[in-house]
Amino acid sequence: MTSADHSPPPDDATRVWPAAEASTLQFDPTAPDALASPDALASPDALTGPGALTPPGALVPVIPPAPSRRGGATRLRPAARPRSGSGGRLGRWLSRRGKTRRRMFLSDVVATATLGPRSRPLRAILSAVGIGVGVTALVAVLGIPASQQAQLQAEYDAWGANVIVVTPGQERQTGETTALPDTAPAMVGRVRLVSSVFTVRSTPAETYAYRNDQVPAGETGGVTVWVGQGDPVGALHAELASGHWFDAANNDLPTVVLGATAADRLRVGVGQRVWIARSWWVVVGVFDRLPRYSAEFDSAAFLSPGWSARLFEADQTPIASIHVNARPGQAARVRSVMAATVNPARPSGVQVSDLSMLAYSQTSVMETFGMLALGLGAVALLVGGIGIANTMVVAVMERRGEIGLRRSLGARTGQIGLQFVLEATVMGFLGGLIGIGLGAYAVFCYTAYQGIVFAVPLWTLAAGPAVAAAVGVLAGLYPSLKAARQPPTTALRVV
Amino acid sequence: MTLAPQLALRKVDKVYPGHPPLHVLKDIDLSIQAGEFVAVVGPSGSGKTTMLSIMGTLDQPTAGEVWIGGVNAAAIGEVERSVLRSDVIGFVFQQFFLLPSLTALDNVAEGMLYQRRRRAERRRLAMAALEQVGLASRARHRPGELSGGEQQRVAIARAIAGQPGILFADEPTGALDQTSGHLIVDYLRTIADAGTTVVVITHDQALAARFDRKVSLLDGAIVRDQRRRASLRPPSPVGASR
Repeated sequence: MTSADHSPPPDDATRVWPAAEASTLQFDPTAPDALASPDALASPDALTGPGALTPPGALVPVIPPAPSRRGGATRLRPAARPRSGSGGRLGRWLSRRGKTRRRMFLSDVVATATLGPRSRPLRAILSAVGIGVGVTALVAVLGIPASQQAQLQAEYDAWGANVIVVTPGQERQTGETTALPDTAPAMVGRVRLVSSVFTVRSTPAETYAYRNDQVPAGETGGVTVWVGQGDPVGALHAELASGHWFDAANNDLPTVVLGATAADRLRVGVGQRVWIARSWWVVVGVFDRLPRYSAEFDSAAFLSPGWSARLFEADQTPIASIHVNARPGQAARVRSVMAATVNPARPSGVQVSDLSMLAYSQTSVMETFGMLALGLGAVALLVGGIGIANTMVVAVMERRGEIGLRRSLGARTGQIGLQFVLEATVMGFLGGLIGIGLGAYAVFCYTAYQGIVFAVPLWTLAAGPAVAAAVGVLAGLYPSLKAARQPPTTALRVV
Repeated sequence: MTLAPQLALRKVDKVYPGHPPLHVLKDIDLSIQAGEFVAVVGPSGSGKTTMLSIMGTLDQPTAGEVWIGGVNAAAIGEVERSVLRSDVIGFVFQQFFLLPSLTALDNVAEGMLYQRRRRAERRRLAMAALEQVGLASRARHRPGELSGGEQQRVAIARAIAGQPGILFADEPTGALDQTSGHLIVDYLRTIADAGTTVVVITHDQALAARFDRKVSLLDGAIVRDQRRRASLRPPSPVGASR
């Protein structure tokens, strides 16, 4: 007898079908005896033709009563006739259940995905640390310039908005630098809206400051020498740590005021001498650290203008820059008249800048530096990702039994894969959290050491874990596919 | 009144490809009724575990049909088979496969994870199942704190907590001493008496003698099918179609 000979299943109106809550299969006692005609069981194409899923006379699922509601009594439902052309009633039932009941609750998905890390916390944390280091680098790289920017902003907000810097400009046509006229500081001082002026003059080339006359000429220590004239306290917001600025008593004597870094490098203080331009100069004042926008003068030595005028020819000390402090709120107006005031003959030969420009040039330097560190962070992320992938590969091998068990409990391949991908994601996310913590701490340490404002861009706190989780997903993909593709029988075979 | 089979293998063949191909199961025909308490015996390599895997839809036959509760599991998709496994079939393994980081209660509850039941409901059913195997007092213990026999009882509780129609056990007493093994068989019998079909693989003939029905496999074929209480069951259809 061939399978094509089998007769279509009898249409049995007493047969019953499960409702969605059915969870067990029972016998239908009214079904005809299948054993009488065993060949009828051999339906060749179970998924085609109405009712083909049910071998004639085989048991059919019966709705088990919901115990709470019906007290255990079995209620049989008359069956609807199967629609033709489909996979059969039970097939539809199964596929409907497949769609409606197979989804896990989100809480269970999360609980299952965190089961691995929870049962082996040390391993999870160690694998997460790799990614954590990457995120730490990224947060620090973004946080340190942000802190410096914030500091600059704070200083700018405090008094920087009023600071205007005038420097010799370049002629557009010739490219030549036009010297600022000697009359300029006095002219600027006469502008009504200007509260203070500080003029910085260059000294002849090869003029350096030394601790004493025995120091070889080459060991300059990076201390620059200028002639300082005017009011640095008002115009540069420079505070004196000790001593005082030039006054009538010492202006015409060989006296010098040092920036904080310069005093450190020369290892001198107020009352001691330094060797500049083949003569001794007495230190009368040492500045505190200057605001960031004038920090270049931290390593400067300012010579007294009176003595300098005697020592150098007038053309040996041209004006390098004029620092102007406008009255509050008047910076824009002062700026607009500055070029013509400084050099009425050739206003185009004057360059006027304010702090926002200086701030910009400083951050661009930080960005170049940041690209390098950003690259380092990316490499750390990659290495961290490989670490997580490694952990996951080991976990998949180690937990073969668990994978097989879950398949036997009814987990689909997708659910197994999702479990392991999420597990890797959880580890990545954990690494991200570690990273933003460490990164923020690194930025905090740096800012505390530098004494500047602490700032970390808020978006990095969100992006750090997100990037780390994404790396975790990528790292978990291959091991998860491996886990999902394991046939349950292989997974359950313990060697 | 005669009962129709709940579980039936029809002309099942299983061949593992290779050189030469391994013919593990040859033309197996087997019908098992609801509530039967069946032992499958045979020497190692006789195809017991493969047959159990195919009956439990963990593996697919190369040819033939696997009827589980009116559904040919060999002809439906993997998603539907996973539904069968989660709702209709329970498994007990020789190595227990308990998750070491979970308590006994959570291990049992894990058995219903893929049934879309709420956690509270799972835990309630799990507690009931643990009571059934006499381990309610050990619910908070982790597998490492339980004896082998207790671990296997937890595994049985996990398999029956979701109230499956069929329970498969692959050498459930293989890792246990004799006393614990007998206790496990007693629990399995109780489950069968409550209406669940229980099919157990064992290589232990003495243990198999305690079952109602003993199916003997040799070289991938059924060589004997004995019933202890034949009067209560219909005759086996094995071989009737040929």
